[in-house]
Amino acid sequence: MVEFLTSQLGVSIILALVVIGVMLGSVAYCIFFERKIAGWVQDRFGPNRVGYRGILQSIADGGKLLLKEDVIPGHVDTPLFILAPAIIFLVAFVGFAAIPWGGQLQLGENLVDIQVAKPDIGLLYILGVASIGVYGVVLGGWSSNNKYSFYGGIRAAAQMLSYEIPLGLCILVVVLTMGTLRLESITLQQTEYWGGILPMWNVILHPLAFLVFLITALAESNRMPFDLPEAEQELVGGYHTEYSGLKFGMFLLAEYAHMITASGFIAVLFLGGWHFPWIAWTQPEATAWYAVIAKMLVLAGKITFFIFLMMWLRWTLPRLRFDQLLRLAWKGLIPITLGLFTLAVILVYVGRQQSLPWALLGNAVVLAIVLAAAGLSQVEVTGRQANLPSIRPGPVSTGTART
Amino acid sequence: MISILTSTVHSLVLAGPLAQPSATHGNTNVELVVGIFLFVIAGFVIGFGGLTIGRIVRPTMPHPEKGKAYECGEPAIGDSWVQFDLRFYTVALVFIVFDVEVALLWPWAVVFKDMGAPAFWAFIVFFLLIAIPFLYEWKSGYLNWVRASTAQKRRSVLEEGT
Repeated sequence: MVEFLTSQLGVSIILALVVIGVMLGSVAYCIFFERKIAGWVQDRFGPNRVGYRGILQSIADGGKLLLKEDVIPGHVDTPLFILAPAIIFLVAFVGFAAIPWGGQLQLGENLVDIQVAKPDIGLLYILGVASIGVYGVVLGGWSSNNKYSFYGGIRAAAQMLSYEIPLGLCILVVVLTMGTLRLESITLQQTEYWGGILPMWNVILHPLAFLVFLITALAESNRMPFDLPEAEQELVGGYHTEYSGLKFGMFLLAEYAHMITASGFIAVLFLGGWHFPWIAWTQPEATAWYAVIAKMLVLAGKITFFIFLMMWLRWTLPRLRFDQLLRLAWKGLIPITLGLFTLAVILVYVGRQQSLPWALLGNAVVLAIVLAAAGLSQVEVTGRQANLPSIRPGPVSTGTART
Repeated sequence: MISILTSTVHSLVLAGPLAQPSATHGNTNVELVVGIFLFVIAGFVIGFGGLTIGRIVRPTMPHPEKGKAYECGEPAIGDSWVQFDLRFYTVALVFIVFDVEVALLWPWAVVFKDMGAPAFWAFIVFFLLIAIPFLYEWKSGYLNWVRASTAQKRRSVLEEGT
């Protein structure tokens, strides 16, 4: 028994159970934090009645959703209607299996990995699983047979397809720099230092790619300012208009699970995963149990930071219009990421992929080219299109702000 | 599969050392399958288990009004499974071309560091295959969301005028 528990398989199973439990709990509490942060941004209290300062609010919410009547309207496509929340919930969960949690742990004579699954194509696995998520949204919108849901569903399809291309290209920048698809190797390569001080995190090497990745991750998890598919003010609830009770709750939970997975993915790809510079406990050489716990806490801290950032943005930024959304993807992010990708290719080709001054210089050049091209061609990435032909006779309205 | 593909391409087209597998060892198949399936099973159990428990404890009070589509209180007119705006179709079409191209770059990106000049020139050709159609689509206006409706408005205004 002890032999099994200290083997890689035993540790993987225990870790999987722990991660699933922690994730369920944190998904439930994300909703509570979201409302608390909304209260903070809008200068009010937020939920504060259930338990001490509202700490039991999530449990009360869950109980309420469980006890509510679950209406399946007569006009829906019932099998797909039930399948959609299950798919979106499952997919948001499964992607988490490949996140490297805490390097390696010394157990007796064994050196085991604190990672549930270590596929050779870890990055591709997470990306593929995340892409299935669009089915949940589209099926939910289609099967509801409601015009709001339907419109939300096709909007979601167009949005997620458009933002998947810059997402994939940004990840390709990291893959080129690291030369591997294994998430644990990517983390390990980021634990080294430039000049003995500055950690080799990809966010320092490729800041533009990090920014674009953050934007596309927001869009892929349907968060503000990209929550067009469920825009309450125009589409009631978008793809989950017809859902009620626990199925609605599953859509809600899946959104937060998706946020956690996206944050974990950003943290591993660009912020060094479990690595925290200058502290001996979070270096790859430290394999004692307390070091592993420290590493897991570091990764959890980074994930918490990104979740906080996403919530903060949600309650601060207004929603984009749909044509602005697609223009940002096709005319803003894709040209930038194509430039960044070319930059990464050139850096690898001349053998300077880990050289900080070259990478930053390249980033500055790409940014300058993009800004110059945007300025010269008068293409606005967001905002009103100034160059549309006028329909009415009379003085031409340029569409810019009135002075 | 990918390794077979790349090694075939390598032996047919390019001459040079192939990338060696990284030093860190992977999982055995059992560990991999068990690890991933634990998450799949947990997702299923929590999802469908929750729905089953909900089915037992929740009330069911059917009413003809509850079975209707919600459209802000108005009775719904017609089905919503209708033909919809073709601009969504254009986005999907452009996406398919792009995504296949990006997907083909993945195995290449892993081995590029060790393959040098031939891989670089292959990339240049491939990149032009992406970039030129992209610029063509941009120039032709297929990436403009508001293009079609503006053209329609102008046409209707012209028809009214004559």
